[in-house]
This record gives sequence, C-alpha cells and structure tokens, in this order.
Amino acid sequence: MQKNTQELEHFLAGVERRALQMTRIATSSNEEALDIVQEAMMTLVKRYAQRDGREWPPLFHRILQNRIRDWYRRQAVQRKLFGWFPLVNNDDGEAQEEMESVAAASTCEPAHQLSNQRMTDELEKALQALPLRQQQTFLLRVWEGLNVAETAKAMGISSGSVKTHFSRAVHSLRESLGDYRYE
Amino acid sequence: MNDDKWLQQNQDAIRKRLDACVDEMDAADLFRLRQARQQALDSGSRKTGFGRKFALPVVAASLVLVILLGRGFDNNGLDLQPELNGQQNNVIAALADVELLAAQEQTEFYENLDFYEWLALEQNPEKGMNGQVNG
Repeated sequence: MQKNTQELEHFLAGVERRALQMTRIATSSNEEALDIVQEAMMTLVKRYAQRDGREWPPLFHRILQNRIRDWYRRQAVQRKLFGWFPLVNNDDGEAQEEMESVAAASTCEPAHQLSNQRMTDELEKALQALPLRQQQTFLLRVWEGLNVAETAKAMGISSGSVKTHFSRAVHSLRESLGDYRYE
Repeated sequence: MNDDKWLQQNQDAIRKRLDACVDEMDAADLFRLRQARQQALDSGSRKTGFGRKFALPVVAASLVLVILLGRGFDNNGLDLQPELNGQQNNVIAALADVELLAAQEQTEFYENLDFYEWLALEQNPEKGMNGQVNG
C-alpha cells in the first residue's frame, strides 16, 4: 500500500466515528448518516488524496457539511413534492414542519446507566432542536475544536456568520440544558 | 450567569458526553464505517474522473465527424480524398490532443472546485458562494 494511501486511511479511521455522530445528530437517521459519511470519504479520496495531509481535515469537514446541507435540501424538495415528510411535534404538541428542527429519537445508545442515557438523550435532543447551521457550528467549534476561521471555511460561510450562529446555539442550549453535568 | 460563563462551565461535560457516544458506538456501525472507508480507498485507486469517462466517446465521435466531413469532392465530382488525407490526419491528431487537454482540465477543475469556492469566500468575506450576503 502506498504511503499516501496509508496516511489517508489513518486519517479517515481517526475521523469517521465523530463524523458519523455529527451527521446522526444532523439527520436523526443512522442509515442516512452512514451514507453521507461514506460519500464524504469517497469524495475526499477521489479529489484530494494527493493533497498535503494537513489539508485533509478542513477539506473533509467542508465536504461533510456540504453533504449534510444537500441532504436537507433534498428532504425539503421531497416534502414539497410529496408532502409525506412526517410532521414533528414539539413538547406542546404543535406540528412543526421545520426541516431544521427535526426532533430526534436518541441515536446514541451508551450502555448502561439510566442517568447516562438520560443525559445523552437530553443533550442530543437539545442539539437536534437547533437549526442546522447553529447545530453544526456549535459541534465544529466545541467538539471538533475548530476556530472561527476554520469553521467558516468548513461551512462555507463568513466568520461573522459563524459567530452569530454559535452565540445563538449557546443561548438555546443554555436554556434547554441548564446546568449540564457529565457523570 | 451569562452565555459565555455557561459555556465555560459546561462545554467539557458536553464534549465528554459526545465522546462517550462515539466510544460506545455499536459493532455494526463500526463495521459499516470500516467498509465505507475501504470502499472509499478502493475507489481512489480506480479513478474515473469526469474527463476520463467521457473523453473516449467524445474523441470517437469527433473522429467520425472528421472522417465524414473530410470526404470531400471538388466541383467536378472528383474525389479529393488522396489530397485531403494528409490534412485529415493532422485534424484528427489535433482533435485528439484537444480532447485530452479538455478532459484533463475538467478533471483538475472539479478537483479544485472546493478550493476555488473557498478562495472566493476569502476574497469576499461578507458574501457567500452565491454572491449573497450571509447573515
């Protein structure tokens, strides 16, 4: 196996699980998330395998964000054409058709303790309730550790937009989660 | 407590919870990720870019067209084929070169598309890729 392929494999192995989790949160579907992550990996390999390895992380994030956004757009088109997209109820029982506010079943099933499960469910529910850009900005900044400029490049938006989406996300999460603790 | 303070106090917990989700991912999903990764790496070694997919049919069509157009007759109905053969060969060779160059350019263009988009953004930070101001 050529050196570049080995490095690429190492990079993908390191990033794939987090990419899957981010995409699950965005789509609320394990199957869709797996497809999207696979597409992103294939695109990176086909187009950018020969680039310097330091470029792969921002490129991969950019590709993944594009794929997630494309998925959302397809969902919106399908909803408009076929009207079968399930209406999402918020806690008050009102129907919401906001594609970017899809309520979620938990997509993460840690084993074991009820409290851990509850904490995970709460966090995922709060994240999935965010509009897509706020959600992904928050995950890229806080979980992936990207700075403002890197996040802007990954999402294809301006630095100012990143700051706006991030601050709104933090505000919403603070209201949803309150004092969040990891046990 | 303001939002910044809340984030400072809670982001570690949030990060750890998300990490836990990843660490506890089930075997079936891990297997599928491994498969997806391998398929991606395999696809990279069997590159069929846009240019390569379409270059051969386009070149073939161009050759047919050149041959058909190249079979010329003078006004007296005499077949000028022998005189045109040399010119025709040059045209065919030139067309083949043009197709190859075009195919390479297309492949490189698509390969660099993301970079061009990022570059446009860097030069016009207040505008998105479609030229509209982001908010």
